[in-house]
Amino acid sequence: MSDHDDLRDWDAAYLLGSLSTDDRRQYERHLAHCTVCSASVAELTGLPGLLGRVPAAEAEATLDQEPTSVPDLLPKLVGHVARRHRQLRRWVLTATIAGIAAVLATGIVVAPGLTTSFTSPQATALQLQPVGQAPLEASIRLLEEQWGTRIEMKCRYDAVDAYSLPADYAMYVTDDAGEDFRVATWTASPGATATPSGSTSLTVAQIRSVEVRSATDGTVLMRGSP
Amino acid sequence: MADSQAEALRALHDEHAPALWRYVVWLCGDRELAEDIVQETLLRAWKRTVQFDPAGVSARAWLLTVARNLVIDEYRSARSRHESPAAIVPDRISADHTDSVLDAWLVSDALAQLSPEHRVVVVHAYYRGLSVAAIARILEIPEGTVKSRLHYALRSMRLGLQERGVTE
Repeated sequence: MSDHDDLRDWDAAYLLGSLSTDDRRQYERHLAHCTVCSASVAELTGLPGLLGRVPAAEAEATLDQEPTSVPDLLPKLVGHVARRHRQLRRWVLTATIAGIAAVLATGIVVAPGLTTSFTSPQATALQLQPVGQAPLEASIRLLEEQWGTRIEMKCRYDAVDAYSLPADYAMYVTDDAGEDFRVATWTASPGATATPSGSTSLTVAQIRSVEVRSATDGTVLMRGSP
Repeated sequence: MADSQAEALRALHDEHAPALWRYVVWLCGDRELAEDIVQETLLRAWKRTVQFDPAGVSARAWLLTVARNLVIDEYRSARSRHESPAAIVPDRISADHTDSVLDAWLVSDALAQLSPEHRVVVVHAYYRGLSVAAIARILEIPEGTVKSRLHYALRSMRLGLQERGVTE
């Protein structure tokens, strides 16, 4: 029909009741004989009902709101899964060693390659740098183990003045995905050296940084990266 | 992590994380909590990938339901810990009619995903009940443009809702 090209876009305005009376009559006359437009209207008939489920105020609000920026959750997600995975592997390994030990105890089989599990771990030394004016001095040894990393720290708390009080500290490791974990806490008295140690399932390569923070308010006092 | 598993996780994330995040923020208004909830929801989906067909129409609905339940759990445990601010459960969460709340969100989200030009004509026409001529005057565009924008806006919403599993 000749008017089809002019009216083909009118389906939505018709359904939402926005056409003028004249336009609506014209469109209805057209619908009566145009199967294409009738089908097109039929496809959209559910829409007004669906729109009705959204309160008007909320629909209005979508006009002002900035498109919500969605944070990228993938790195965290992958880090999380990798950690769970390692924990699982560690579990299986422990079970295997226990199994082998049981076999050894009965003296039936000598498991090959078992000695490698008991070789001394690789140590990485690390000097932490003060962040701000912390009266602290700390050095660290990262010991790579089969199950993760053991962190041994020597931390000296210098008395700033005669009134310095013992303070609580915490050691944090941050992984390559940027997630941090508290691995140790301790109390240090002025002038004394503390040797706290912590452990993590991360490998040395996955440790981005090690930090000493105040356990009271979380302020980062020292930091170092392998 | 095996490559195929990492790939599965990435696919789940790319396909569902944005909508899940918008939904949880809409439910509880807490962006930080939303990150945790979305992460946990996707991990649960990932762990049961054997039964979970990420392309299925119901996948999104399943994920939204899991996320909503996690939000409810979070508020319940916050309440039992007597953390007063978090103990006020938002209406959107406490509403009994799960399906209608979810549908309302799905429609609202489909609306929010329209281009601004399309969204504004729908809001004017449906929610403010304005005529094509009035909308044309307000937006200073020809009436024909209003009609065609409404046409494309509703088509695009219909498509968006079908993707979200809303077909009615």
